[in-house]
Amino acid sequence: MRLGEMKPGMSGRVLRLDGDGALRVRLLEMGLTPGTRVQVCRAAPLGDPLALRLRGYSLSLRREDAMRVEMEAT
Amino acid sequence: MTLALLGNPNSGKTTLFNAMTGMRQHVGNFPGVTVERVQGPLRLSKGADVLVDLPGTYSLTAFSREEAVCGEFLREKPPDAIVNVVDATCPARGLYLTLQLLETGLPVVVAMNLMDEVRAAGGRVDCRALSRALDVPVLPVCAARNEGVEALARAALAAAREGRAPRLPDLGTAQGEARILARYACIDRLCARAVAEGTSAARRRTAAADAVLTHRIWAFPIFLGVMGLVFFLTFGPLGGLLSQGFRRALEGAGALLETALARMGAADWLRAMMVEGVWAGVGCVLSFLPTILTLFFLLSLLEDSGYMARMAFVADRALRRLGLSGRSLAPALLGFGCSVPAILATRTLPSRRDRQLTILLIPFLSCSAKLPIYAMFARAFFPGHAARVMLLLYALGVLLAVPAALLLRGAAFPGEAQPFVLELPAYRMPTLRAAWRLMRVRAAAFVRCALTTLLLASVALWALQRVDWALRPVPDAADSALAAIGRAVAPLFAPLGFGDWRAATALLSGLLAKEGVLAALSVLLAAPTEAALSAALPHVFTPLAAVSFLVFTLLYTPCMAAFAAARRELGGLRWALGGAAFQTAVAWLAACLTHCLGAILGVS
Repeated sequence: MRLGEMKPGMSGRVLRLDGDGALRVRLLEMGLTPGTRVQVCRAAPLGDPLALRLRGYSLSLRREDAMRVEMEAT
Repeated sequence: MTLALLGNPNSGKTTLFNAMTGMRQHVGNFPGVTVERVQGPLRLSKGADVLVDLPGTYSLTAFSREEAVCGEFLREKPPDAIVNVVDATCPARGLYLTLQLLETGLPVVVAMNLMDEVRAAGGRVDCRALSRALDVPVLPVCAARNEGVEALARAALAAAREGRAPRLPDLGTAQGEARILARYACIDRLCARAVAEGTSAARRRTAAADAVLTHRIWAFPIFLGVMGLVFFLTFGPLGGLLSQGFRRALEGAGALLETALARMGAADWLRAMMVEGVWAGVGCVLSFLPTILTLFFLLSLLEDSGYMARMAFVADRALRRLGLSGRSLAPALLGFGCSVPAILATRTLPSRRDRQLTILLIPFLSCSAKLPIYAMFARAFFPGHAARVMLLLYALGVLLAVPAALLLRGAAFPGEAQPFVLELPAYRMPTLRAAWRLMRVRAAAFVRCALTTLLLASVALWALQRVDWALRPVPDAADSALAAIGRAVAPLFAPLGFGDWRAATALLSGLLAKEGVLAALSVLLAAPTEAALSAALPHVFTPLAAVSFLVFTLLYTPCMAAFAAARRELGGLRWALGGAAFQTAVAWLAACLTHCLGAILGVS
């Protein structure tokens, strides 16, 4: 399942990141590395972006960018 | 010794910097870029050593100007030691930067900040274990309460004197992406041993606040309420009182300058230039200072509290359609107050593209200096409908910003908006000192701009109003060089319905500051009072021409202060000129359309 498809309240572990370029490096550096547990806390009022919780902090990502992240539900 | 302070945004870096240096801070710029550089004398050694505050960053890989500055600074002017702030409530992310800093080979001391929150949550960060594993001092700190700050400064100085490169944890030889993974693998091993997350009350509070502040429905009224309050405080009674007082003080200083010059026996022309040109021009712009300071102060509070990030989160979807990101919202809204702070505030945007697009759109949001012009015209032409006229003008600006954004996006900024990767920090009580400093840094940029570009511009404009082409002083403004230019360009405005040279000259005077439009009209129409001006305006404008004049005023190139700020932030005169030309073209077209439409509908 893709991180961008997950509903608020769901959580899982990062399997891999697709695509390349600056965004990929950015996401990895922000701690979205394979094996990291991520919870989707909420979506913004207009449905996008998402608010995630990982590594003890909250991060906001657009669904479109979150679609690059393949997750394993837990 | 020179120490550098580095850490993630929202890790309490500024608070720690203030605690370590006290109030005698020096605000400057990094060479070549408009990223502020703040440094201050270290309190512990009574000023013998200097602490440089580098911009908040998550990594040394350059994604934004701020991050690029950090890396360059460490390479080109390596400090004697690095003080690295890590947010103890989420050490994993902070330690990522720590590892990168260790890899530079410079001595590092780690400050585990916000340890009080970790303890209150029943969590644990074992600084000693981290210190052993990383081979550098790791000290528990609570910057807001000034706990552990002195020990930190002492450890940093000791490390700087020793100058020993830290022994790196084993990261292998991998480069690129594998290196990132190796760093996080190392951090995961460290955290498994040394860190236990508690059940934080602060985190629960943040979640509860988010449930309301980013609520599906409530988010929007709350947002409007907060911005309304900011504007009320800035432009309402409080800000009004401050700027009135300041304006009086400036006038007083101007009078003093005049007497001083008279006493020194300065020539008349010099006295007039100094008082009416230099002082009036710079003073006019400086008189915005209280407004700008108040606005910056309140926004700094919002930024520090964590609400600014939520505003971006809530608005991102809507702004993305225009090719912007949620982060553009706060700077753009400032534009309703004054374009200058709005343009300066775009520094918080991470990508150059978003910054430039936002800056080019800010002038569409009618700034408060244009309000008196609307009020005067509404009074002269549409008595009783002033509020409606103004509301329509504001709405027109916002409505035109949408196609302008789409056009600019298509023509000058192809591609998608930058990815939106934004930390939503825990809500924290903003400290007055941190807000004060943020305000000072930004105000300093404004004053520098007022004292350089604007000084020259205001003298030039003043001179053009006072002399003719032969540089002979003229007693009547109608014979001045500016009026001659006004006459020359007036035909350009004929299709808009106001080909009168006085209207054109007034618009030219508005280039210095929009207040100049009314001032020039009252001089040129020989109508010194508001009532007289209100009576005189219908002799120059038909009601339809008045409307198209207002539309043009709403949209045409912003004042010189805004232009100078845009030049700084857009990174070049060419960009700023292009932006001004674009805005003036839009203004001309919109006013022409207004006039034609009115003529077709039979309005005169």
